[in-house]
Amino acid sequence: MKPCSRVATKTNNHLQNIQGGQVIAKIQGSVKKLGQQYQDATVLLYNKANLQPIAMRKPDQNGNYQFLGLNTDLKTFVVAFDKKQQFNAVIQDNVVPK
Amino acid sequence: MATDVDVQYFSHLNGLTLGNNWGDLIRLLDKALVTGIDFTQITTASIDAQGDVHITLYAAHNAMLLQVVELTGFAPASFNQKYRIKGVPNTTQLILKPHTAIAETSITTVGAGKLASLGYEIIFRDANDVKRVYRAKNPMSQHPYIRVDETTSDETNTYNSSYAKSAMVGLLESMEHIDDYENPGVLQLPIDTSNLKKNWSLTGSGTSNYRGWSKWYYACSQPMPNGPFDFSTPPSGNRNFTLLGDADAFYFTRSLTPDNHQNKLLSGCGLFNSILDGSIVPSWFLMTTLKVTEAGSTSGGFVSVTGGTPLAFDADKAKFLSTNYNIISKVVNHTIATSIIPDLLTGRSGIYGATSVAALELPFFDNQNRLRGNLKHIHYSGNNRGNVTQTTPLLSDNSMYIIDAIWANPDAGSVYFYLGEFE
Repeated sequence: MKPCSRVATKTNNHLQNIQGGQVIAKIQGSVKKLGQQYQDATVLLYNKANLQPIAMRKPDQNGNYQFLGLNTDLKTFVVAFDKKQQFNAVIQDNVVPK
Repeated sequence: MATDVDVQYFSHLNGLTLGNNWGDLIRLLDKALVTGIDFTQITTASIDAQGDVHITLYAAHNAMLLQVVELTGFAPASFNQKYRIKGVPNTTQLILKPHTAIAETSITTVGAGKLASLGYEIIFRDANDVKRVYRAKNPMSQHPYIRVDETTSDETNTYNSSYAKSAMVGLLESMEHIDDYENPGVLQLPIDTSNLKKNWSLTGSGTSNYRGWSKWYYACSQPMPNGPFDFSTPPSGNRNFTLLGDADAFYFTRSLTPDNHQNKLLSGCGLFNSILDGSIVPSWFLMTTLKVTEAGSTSGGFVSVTGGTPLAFDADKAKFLSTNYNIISKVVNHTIATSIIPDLLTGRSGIYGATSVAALELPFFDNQNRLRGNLKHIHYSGNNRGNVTQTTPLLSDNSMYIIDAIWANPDAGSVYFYLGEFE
């Protein structure tokens, strides 16, 4: 007899609710340090409408990151911090989910 | 990873009507379960750099985010598949995410599209167009024959046509014709082995009429949790509803009156994810209003019959029906299922409200103390979503959900339906 599951399904950990939007979209990118893919970073996605953070991610082993479950009406900017604090944070402005 | 396209949903927002009219439920089930809804002519179609297909229709599509669309007649043939609606830019345009990624970058022939059905077929229908038997397409032996019967008269006994609207609903193991429900070797749900016609027969007329046993009400004079008062004429007007599922199981939430949208009644039927072998005793469940009262009665309401308010209200009324797992003699009276649920205030108590989507699977056990398995698609909601008045799609990262309300004492609660993963 199989065990009986009681799964809690997956959810996001957004720091604010994203309202509206009729087209599902995501943001994806990669973090580089001196031209090399870099994973030891913290990537923060901000909402330009209220300047508050939406979500936080650590890049995967290849330095790639993505923010899912967004919409194309959203205007954002992305900030990446170097966890080793050897370099200043970098910002990518006017990022629109696709 | 491919986008999941197996679980589909329909809503009153698609333009389907569910009003105070006989036949509305079976015609709704015909569309949602069997035929789907055809789009008007696709005037333009293209594929973008991300592999999403953009279509423009001649007239309004009435389609919603996260519904499943099926395209046919396109060339190249790789476009002929199922899609999730990724975007609804306006009333005539849709952006579609294919189940299987499409390598081609241009469309040479524009075909047709529709909102895909849940994947059933009509096995039998009657000459008077008031009964249906549905079954999953390409069924496994376990898939039930789902009999839905809106009969109001057998010529001798009559249920007054102005009374509350409901269909008699039950599951059968096999059928040879539309009224084949008296075979003592065939399991039914619900079933009273001393009277195999109990779920399908009428006796008496007027306020003394008795009609069926397991019923799905869809138009009543008062909203949940009052009634159902069969004798009381329901107001006319369309009811809000969600019908969601796949070829294994589906759920149906609806308002019983046209002006109360949040106190919905939940019904459902089909297979569940069983932990027991289902080859002898099939793994069926049925959420329904199970009562035998005369049409003039004001007793036996939703809040006083076992399973009258599935998953909500109190321990007894929150139950539902399942097959009795008796493999020696399978045609025995059905059993009552009890869900293993954190509380009976789904979508209302907000006990996991710090989680953005707190959706928890629902295992259950039966009156014989057998752990049986868990329900497909439907989840307990640990969030308080307030008054949800209509079918509401939600994406949490890549997980797709539909939220709709059910009555959870003393007012609206809600449940999550999980559609799968996007991309």
